Amino acid sequence: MIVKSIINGFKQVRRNMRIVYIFYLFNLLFGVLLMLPFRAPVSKMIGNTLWGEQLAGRFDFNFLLEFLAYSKDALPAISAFLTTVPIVYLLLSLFLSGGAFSIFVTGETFQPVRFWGDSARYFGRFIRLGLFTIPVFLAFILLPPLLVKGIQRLIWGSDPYQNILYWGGWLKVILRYSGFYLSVMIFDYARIYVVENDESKMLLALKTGFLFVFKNLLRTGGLMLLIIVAGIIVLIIYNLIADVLTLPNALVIIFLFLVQQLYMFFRMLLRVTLYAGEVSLFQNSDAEEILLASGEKA
Amino acid sequence: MIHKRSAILLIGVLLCAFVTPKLSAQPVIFEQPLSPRIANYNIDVRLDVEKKLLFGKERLTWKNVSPDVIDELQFHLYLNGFRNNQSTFMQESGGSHRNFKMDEDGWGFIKVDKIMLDSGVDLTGRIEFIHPDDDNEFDKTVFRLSLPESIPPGGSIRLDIDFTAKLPQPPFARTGAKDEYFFVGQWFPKIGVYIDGEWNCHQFHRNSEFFADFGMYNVRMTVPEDNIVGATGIEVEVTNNGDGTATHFYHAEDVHDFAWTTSPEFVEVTGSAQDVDIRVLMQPDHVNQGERYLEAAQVGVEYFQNWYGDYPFPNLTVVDPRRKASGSGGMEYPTLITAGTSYRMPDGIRLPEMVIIHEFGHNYWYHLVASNEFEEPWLDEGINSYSENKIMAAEYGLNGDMLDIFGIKLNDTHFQRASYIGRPDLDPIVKKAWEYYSNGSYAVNNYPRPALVLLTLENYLGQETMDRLMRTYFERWKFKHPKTQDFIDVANEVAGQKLDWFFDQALFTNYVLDYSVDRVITKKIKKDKGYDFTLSVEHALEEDSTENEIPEQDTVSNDSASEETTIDSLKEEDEPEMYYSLVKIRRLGEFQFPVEIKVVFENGDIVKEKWDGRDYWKKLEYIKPTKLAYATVDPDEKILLDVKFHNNSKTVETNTIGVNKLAIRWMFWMQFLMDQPEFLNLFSGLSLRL
Ligand SMILES: [Zn+2]
Repeated sequence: MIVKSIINGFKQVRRNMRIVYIFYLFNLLFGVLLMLPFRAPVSKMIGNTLWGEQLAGRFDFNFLLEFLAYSKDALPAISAFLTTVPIVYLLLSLFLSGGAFSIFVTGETFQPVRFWGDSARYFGRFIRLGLFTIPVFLAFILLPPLLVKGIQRLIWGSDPYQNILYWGGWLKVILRYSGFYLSVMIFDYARIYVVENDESKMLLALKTGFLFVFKNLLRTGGLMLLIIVAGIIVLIIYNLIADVLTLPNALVIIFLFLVQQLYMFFRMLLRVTLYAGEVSLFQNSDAEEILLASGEKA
Repeated sequence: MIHKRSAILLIGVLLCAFVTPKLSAQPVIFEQPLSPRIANYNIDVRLDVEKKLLFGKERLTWKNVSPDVIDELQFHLYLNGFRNNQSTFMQESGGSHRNFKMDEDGWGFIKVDKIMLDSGVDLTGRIEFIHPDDDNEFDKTVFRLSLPESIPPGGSIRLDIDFTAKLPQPPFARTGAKDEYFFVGQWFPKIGVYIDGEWNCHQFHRNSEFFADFGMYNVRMTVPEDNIVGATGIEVEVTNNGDGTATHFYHAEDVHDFAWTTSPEFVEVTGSAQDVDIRVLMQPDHVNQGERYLEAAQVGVEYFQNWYGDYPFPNLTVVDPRRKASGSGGMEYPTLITAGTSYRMPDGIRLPEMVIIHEFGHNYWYHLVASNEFEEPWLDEGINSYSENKIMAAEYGLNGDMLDIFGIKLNDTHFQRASYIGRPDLDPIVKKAWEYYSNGSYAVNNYPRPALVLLTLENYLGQETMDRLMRTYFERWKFKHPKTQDFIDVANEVAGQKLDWFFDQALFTNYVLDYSVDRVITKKIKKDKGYDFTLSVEHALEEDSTENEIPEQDTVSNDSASEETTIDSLKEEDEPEMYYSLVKIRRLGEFQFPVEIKVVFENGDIVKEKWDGRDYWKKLEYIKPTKLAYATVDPDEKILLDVKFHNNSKTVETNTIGVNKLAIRWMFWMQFLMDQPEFLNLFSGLSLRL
């Protein structure tokens, strides 16, 4: 079922590569936006020095030390961008997901009017849904670590050896990751439900997403895990390539840039494939029955 | 001196001059005393594990080696720094030391119950608390004892002191208790140093360590029988008292402090380095880092002995502090140091190694060379930070000697410079420990800045001279109390030149060192046309007419032909195009230091210049058949005190290639993190316990 969903999803994506391009272009655009307030002070500091040449090779931490110490004027601008641009990016991704889900749910090929129109059409609902999801998200992120801490205290008291805390720390990381991805899945399937049924009750959508994810946990989780693993493999490949691209040479740097962007494009491809796969999984499962069983629909 | 390893075999059991009835015998470590042995202690101490109390009986034998008649003594009661929130220590620290705090009710104290002459005369009523450094009448860390009979030059006095002490909880500012773990430092009534005609006995401050005279210590510590004990000196015997306690007898010679630790949980790891036995006392949850601790201690012992001179003691004990007791970590005592780590500390984070090498280094720069850490703390911490930096680089490589993980490679020098360039000018280095502008200023001026001063000096004098300087300073001043001027005198002598110009700026001012290449200009020289030319550079240039005098060259140049070129020689049509190049170097800080300048031309020609660095700026001009490419001042980055390396060079052409590389890497990370914000989760999660 998982593989089938992925294959279906990938077929859908191949027919609609323009969705991937749109996601990628916005990622690139926002990357450029975040780069500009960084590049200007760097250029001012080292643009006419030997460091401006040497740093084309391996990174020199003396640069970082002095940049942090002497470019203090630039740091507020950088941090202002760092706090605002990602939020706008998040909202934009949410916006675009409406169009993407709509195309995958209907099984149509990409039509700009439909894509942008449905992006706009669902945006308000997705925002409301997002707000409703925040408590779920917080609960999944914050409660498991507290639980781990409580169990530690119960078994080993208030002063456990550091090995307990260390492995407990890893357990917390794993649980927080799981919590994060569970919330993401709930949000995804809730959005799919909204698009498929033109639903306007967001709490109902959230509940559907929640029930769907947990009643089909092996499938929903398996699909997500496959995408995550694929992402990690691509990241490792990227790092292996980037590690050897250290020569201080313009061509090498251009090549590094292309590899980076290729990697980001893959990430976007994976994300859109996940959307399509999730739609396929949702449509091939008995979501309706889940709702009927829960008494929300009659 | 007896050779160390054999010394531990206790070659003789002699009747001692400083006997108490209980302590009738003691071993001898050194046949001939290595130090003047002015302050000698026999202490019996019983530990109350539950109440964290110490009950002590101390016999002090103090010798007057001064030419003065002494009619009062002064003592430190360091633990009273933790007595209440009004002590000078607490007022200065706000209750926080190295980011550690005591528990709400974790106060510690020390009380002299009785102080008597060995003749039986009770002097307890003569105790008078004094505060030589401030007006804080609540501070009880120093007391004066007027004597009924004065001590003549060459005379001595014996005092019997009963005291009760409570250790702070958890360990705070180096000393204290946490449940079953005890680290006991600064714990007994300790006599000050009579020097330069007066008592040098400062209060306990947030930013000060210690100063004491050398002597012999015989200490019997009574602790639960299952406890393991580590202490200054060598263990002579352990007596089981049959009441659930055991008494551990330690003996130390030619040391100026005594600290000990005890816990039933210690796991021992032993080894040796050269002729020194090393004993590591690990916590159970760090036991698999025991070998790591041992190896770091071996590195410390071997480098220090090879570079600076003999560590005369037979042994070294390294203590790993208990979890939640890190306030006792990273500290030095004679033959006993404390370190610190956490469970599964990655090998690439060499914090335990650095701390152990650093703390062992104090056995040279605080213990053997016993400078006054109250008044001139840099002599210990600063010189030691220099040694630490050198050993880290020599042992762990120049690329990532401190941190080598996930491709991030950072050296001790990076950390030292990071700390220094943030606050280079708050104070001079030489200052009393509690008189710096801030805690941060104390830290910068006693650790990284003096280390960078000495590294700069080393690059100026050369490795061989610097090594000789350090060895001479150590050999000449071990078992003595040197001052800053003594270090400078040794430096002048060994270097064979007056270095006062350097030390005056580096140690006694807040001068900042910063040289920069301010301008680089290169221009094609226009050929003059018309009558009556005896042309010079002045005519040839349309701009910068005020800046184009050929400077008097006090310089070394490998291209001497270029400077006096005139345009006359260019009149032939087939002569190559000539270029006028100008380099302006500026001294941006007050610190004056001779610098090397490297000027590089597009055809690969390199001109090396030297400038004494005294004036505000220096102009260099060249006429060559090639354009200037760039100029750098201090091209090899030898002047580690320079607060800005990035302005040490200037290129004629803008170099955007490095800027672009940084920009695309930054952009990629931003693209990645925007799309994968959960990635941060990994770091936040791991940083919890790593
Ligand atoms: Zn230190």
